[in-house]
Amino acid sequence: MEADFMNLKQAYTMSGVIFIFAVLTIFLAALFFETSRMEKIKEETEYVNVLWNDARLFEDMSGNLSCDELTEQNRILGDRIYEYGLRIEKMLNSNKMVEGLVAKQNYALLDIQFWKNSQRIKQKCPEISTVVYFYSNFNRTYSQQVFDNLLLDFKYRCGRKTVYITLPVDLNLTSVDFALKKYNITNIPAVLIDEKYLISEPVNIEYLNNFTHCW
Amino acid sequence: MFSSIEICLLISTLAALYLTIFFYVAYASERSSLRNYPKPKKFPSISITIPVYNGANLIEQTLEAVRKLEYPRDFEIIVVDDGSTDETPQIVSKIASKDPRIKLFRKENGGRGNARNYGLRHAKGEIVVTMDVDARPEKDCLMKAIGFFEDKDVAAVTISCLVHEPKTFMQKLQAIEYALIPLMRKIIESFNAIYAVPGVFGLFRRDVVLSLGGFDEKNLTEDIEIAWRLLAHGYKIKMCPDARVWTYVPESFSKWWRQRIRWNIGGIQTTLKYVRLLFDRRISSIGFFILPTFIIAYFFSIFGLVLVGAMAIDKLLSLIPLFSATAYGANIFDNLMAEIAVYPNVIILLSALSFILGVSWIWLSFHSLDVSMRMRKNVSTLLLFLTFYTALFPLNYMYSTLKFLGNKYRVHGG
Repeated sequence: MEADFMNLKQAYTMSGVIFIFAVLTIFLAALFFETSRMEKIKEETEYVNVLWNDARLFEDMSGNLSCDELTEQNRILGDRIYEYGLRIEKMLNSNKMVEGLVAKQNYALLDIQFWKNSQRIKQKCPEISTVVYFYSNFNRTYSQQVFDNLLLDFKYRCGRKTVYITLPVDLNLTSVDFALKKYNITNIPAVLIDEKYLISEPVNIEYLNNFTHCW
Repeated sequence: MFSSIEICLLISTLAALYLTIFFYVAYASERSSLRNYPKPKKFPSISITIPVYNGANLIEQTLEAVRKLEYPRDFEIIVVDDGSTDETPQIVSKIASKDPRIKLFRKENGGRGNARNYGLRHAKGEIVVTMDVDARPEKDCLMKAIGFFEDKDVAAVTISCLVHEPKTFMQKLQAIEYALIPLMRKIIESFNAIYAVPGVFGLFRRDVVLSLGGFDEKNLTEDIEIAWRLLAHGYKIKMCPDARVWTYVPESFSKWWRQRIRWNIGGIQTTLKYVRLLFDRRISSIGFFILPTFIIAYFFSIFGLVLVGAMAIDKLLSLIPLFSATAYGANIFDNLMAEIAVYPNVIILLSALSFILGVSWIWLSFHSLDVSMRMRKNVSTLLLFLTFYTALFPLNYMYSTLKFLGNKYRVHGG
């Protein structure tokens, strides 16, 4: 019986050693992947600067464009920002050990800038609608998941006629805090349409369309 | 960062990984002797006992298979009719009239354990083989297994039990499950931790089992309980993978479900009976291996199911009200593929390692003991085994536990 015990002890110990080695290897590999992703995100930050400058130049130059051209150019810019956001969100969401807060803050600032541009365009072309989605980066509730899906669907169906902007509210950004205060947004998630209509309870897509008139 | 669900997933994955590595380590130390069995020098007398209840459709073929068993001396065949209401006794009597080795005993129905004890008490052989009526032993299995009894400390020997002619989907899944058991059982032999001697075809030293009081008639899995009792009294149990018996398994889900409830309740009964031996160094096989693995497997499988359920509900709830199934479906797929293929993280890597080790283990089980070549090629059944079939176990555990706690089970009959 002592021999059985020793056999077991040996097997448990040997398994423990291999297990620790395997887990350490996996953690190191994961850390390597995540660090590489952060490097890639840093490279992409350069792209944020391009988009940022693009947004500002567009704002300066847009005075001579017709409403159709303005809307189309704004849509293209919005799509680029949105795609960039999706790309870094996927990378950051898959990171479990390396945080990428600055990249998220950069993206939020870009979206704020884009929102500001869109508001100016709206003064000349009032048929454009802005749909701003305020969400929590750290506290993803069921209600927020419902909003995520709703707005994703809305973006697919109404992307040509509306400007869709996503803003995380808990990244310590003064500009976002200011927007929350200005539009009296206390419940998150919330959707602000045309800076007038605030929706903070789950609704259906038809209800959103009552404000945006996409179809 | 890690969500609470991800932390739970990480813990389960790490536990599964450790256990898998443990079996690989045990395999590595035993691989050279997996198929060895001692050549017998002596041939002890053998009694084969077959408890049967309403087995008229099976008994004739069973007796034919038993009569063909190779052994250099005569063995007795004891059929215990456990109060059958069909033609079983008549069929047995007819065959017995032509073969004097066959003895028929008739008794009132008292359950499987009771019938086994009845056979044990009437057996004259030094070694008693307990056998189910649906078992089809290969003719050389006695010759391969009997040599283990040369060691006086060996009280029981178990052999590979495989599925006979799997036809239905459920039978094919069970065929994979049964094919995985022999290797597992053989490698835990080195810790003397074989926790079951299936009644399909188990060899026991008669005087030892009788001296310990025979089979526990109140236990729904008397073949598991007797194994634990033998180990608790310091005896050894051996596994002979090369000796094979083929058995019929439930063909439908409902029959499978009922069978597994019986097995699980029996498992719970046995665990509770011997839980006092947990971490008892004197009986290390039970105290440091069987009980911990039973308990961990029980809780982690339920925990795993609850976890997967929670993740599924988490996703489903986000679809209520169902605004955007199309976009959502695309989103899930997109994110999933991105995480797995493009953006791997620690959870994905650990799960991938566990999965690869798990699949390799299946291959190793088939390959090392040369179990069914056809099965290896049936990839779709294997995938369903790994997903659908394994998910049924924790569900059955939970249901069986409720039945056990509610005392809604019976020992007698069948």
